[in-house]
Amino acid sequence: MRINMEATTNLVQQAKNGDVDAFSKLYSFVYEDLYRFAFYTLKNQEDACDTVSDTVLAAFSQIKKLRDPSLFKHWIFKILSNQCKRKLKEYTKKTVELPDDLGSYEQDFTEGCQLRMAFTTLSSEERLILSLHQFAGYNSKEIGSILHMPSATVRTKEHRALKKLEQAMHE
Amino acid sequence: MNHEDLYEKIKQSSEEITIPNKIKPEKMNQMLKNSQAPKKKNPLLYVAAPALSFVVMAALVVTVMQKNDMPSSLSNYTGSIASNEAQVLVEKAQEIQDGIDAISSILYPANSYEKLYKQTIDVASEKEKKYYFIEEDAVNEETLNASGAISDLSGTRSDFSNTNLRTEGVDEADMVKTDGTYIYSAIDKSSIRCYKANKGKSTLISTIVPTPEDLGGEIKEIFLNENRLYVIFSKYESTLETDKEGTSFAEDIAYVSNNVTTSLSTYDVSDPKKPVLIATATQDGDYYTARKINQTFYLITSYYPEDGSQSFFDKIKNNFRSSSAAEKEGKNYAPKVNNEAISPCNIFLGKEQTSNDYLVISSISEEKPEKIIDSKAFSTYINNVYVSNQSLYLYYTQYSKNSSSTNIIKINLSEGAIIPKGVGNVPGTINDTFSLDEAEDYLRVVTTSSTQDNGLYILNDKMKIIGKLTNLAPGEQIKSARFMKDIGYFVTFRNMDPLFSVDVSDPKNPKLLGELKITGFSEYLHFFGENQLLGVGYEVNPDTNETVGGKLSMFDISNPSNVTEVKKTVIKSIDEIPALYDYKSFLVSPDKNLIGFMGTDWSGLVADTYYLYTYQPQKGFVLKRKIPIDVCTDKKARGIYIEDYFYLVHKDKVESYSLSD
Repeated sequence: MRINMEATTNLVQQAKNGDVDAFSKLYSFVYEDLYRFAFYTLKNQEDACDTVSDTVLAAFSQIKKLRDPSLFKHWIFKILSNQCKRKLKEYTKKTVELPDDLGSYEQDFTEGCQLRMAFTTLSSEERLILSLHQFAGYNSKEIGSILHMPSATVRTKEHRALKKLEQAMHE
Repeated sequence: MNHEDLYEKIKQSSEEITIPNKIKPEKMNQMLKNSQAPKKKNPLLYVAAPALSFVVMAALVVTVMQKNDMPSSLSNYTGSIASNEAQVLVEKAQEIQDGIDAISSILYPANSYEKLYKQTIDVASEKEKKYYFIEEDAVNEETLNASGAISDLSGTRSDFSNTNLRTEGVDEADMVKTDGTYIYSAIDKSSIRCYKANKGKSTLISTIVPTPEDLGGEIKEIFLNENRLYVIFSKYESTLETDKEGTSFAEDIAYVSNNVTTSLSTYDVSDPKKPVLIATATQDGDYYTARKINQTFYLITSYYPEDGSQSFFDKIKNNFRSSSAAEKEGKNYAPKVNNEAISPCNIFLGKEQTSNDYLVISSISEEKPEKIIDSKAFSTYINNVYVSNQSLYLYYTQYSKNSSSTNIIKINLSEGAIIPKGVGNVPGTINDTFSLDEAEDYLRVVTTSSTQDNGLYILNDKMKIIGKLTNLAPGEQIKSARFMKDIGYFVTFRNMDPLFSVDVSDPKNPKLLGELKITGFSEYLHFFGENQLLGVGYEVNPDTNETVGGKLSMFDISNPSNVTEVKKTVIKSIDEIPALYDYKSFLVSPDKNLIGFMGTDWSGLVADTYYLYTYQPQKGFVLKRKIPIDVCTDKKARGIYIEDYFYLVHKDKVESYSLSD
């Protein structure tokens, strides 16, 4: 979503003053990508919704800390990616397998469906890297700062993930 | 398949999925509104001296004096005093009335709580809020469009640093303050630590913690002056309340009441080991900013009366139709200062009010820090404020389909009196508080319009534009500005970084003096000694438009028509300079020859480092210290100096370094 910067600045200012409607408007610009990001990373619809809701609450309570309104999208994705990271960590401790909604989303065999199924074969880190790139629009340096790894490592992992994705699609 | 094709496929596949209803914006809106329940306030009696009664009072005084028969010798004497006082009152009343007239195009005094009630309800119940036009235009997330920062080249005579101020003579509250012997730090937000600094050694000698009734609050910032420590604290209270007024709604409905109150508490620190609380003044709303001019504090908070839970508005809509009930309820919406509702004559409602946000401004004297001298509330949201030695300017930008313009409200601050003076409008948006500058009743403003033309506007004391210079650097955007006397300097940016100098000595006829093109851009300008201007910002590769690192520039401004960049240094390990958003965190002292700020490195593990530079005409910028900072400090560390030592104040410790080696 491309947003006029001045309008964003204004809405952020209002949201900082506690205006829920202004914040909701800002959210409406990005929520689809936020959901897609969470869904593709976590694979689970319920958890994706919860993570997005938690992100909204956290973002609204912390928007006063957003110094540069033009970075709103960037900023809210950072909150979301941290929430997703936490969720992924929880998964590693859980013994019960969560329903994989991403891979079984539709029964027909469209290319989109094929891709989603291929996507589920990636590791959580790989899904996170590709989602950060695609939905949050982060570059490898920024992804590196979120995942605490050098940007070169991000690029290698990203390359490998895409290769894996391509192979899985053709299987 | 190449990467881009794969990403395109991911994108396409993701667009097929249905977004669950429960995270749609309207649902989230509801969730947020439910999460912040309305607050309720106890009505309190308050007798104020509203603007209108001023006129009445003045008239009365005059009449009484005329009727008094006194011995002629005495009457000559007292008569002159009395009529002087009456004259003062009349003038004051006139001044207030003039102020009301001057801003009447956008704001008007409520004059009654009933009016305040009605307007609050009207605004709150307007379900479809109007938003500004959103056009297809890329958000450029790469360019950090930050504010600039700092005080003038003042330089205190005492040998320790003061907070980096916007305007010389206008003190600003900050998280760290020193008097040259003691360092007070409120970085931790839950306590104030007092350290004794002695030749590079710092010892923690006392800690002030809020009392139990202040739990749930946060220390915001502090002032320090002559053995008095002034602490600004915001308290967030939530209580569960039941409606006891027996309205048509079920009497046992309970709701959470939220209340934010900001206080200015004065501590006697003549013995810093034993700070003594001596006075507290309170004001509704969350802390926005504070200034001190001469002996008067100005405390600014943002206040929102009720936050729009639907059941709450149903309740008030149904139950306060009668005028007296509305008057009573309206008083509950008025912001309170020292527990008394501000007089409706001092609450200014918007002509086209779209939200119930208020900016509340109160004045408090150093002499009687428990007393509020004057308070005004303005129903407006703002982008920022600029405070000169005598005026407060509030500004906010309005957007229409193809253009933007900024309203600037001028408010006179004179020994505690807060009097609106006028409202002006300039095309475009204002970058930050340094883009406005007041000199001899003229206000100079630089703006960037939505077509990315830059302009300089000069407004007179009535806030009318009397001179302008437009069409500067089309297609670029103002990044920083600084005025010194009759010359204004500003930096715009797209690919290159032109520094413009403008002669504003004739307000009706500003002239462009010069333009210097260099790479990168300065987001903060600070006069550094005679004829030198320091620029802090980022270096950019002009071919790729990518940021290369942090950048310091020194400009020679001895000839404003021919400004040159004499020295520069690029710090590649800096990806972000947080001080560019928070000028108070810069340490810039031309006297001490110090330039200190924090830099963030985003590569690898995010790391913050404090950089301390000195400037030598031959060598340029010389790095004196590079001090790693714990990332957990939330970028709040402050660098200060006392005599020959530099102290870096962290959240929970103070590090010191000798400046002589």
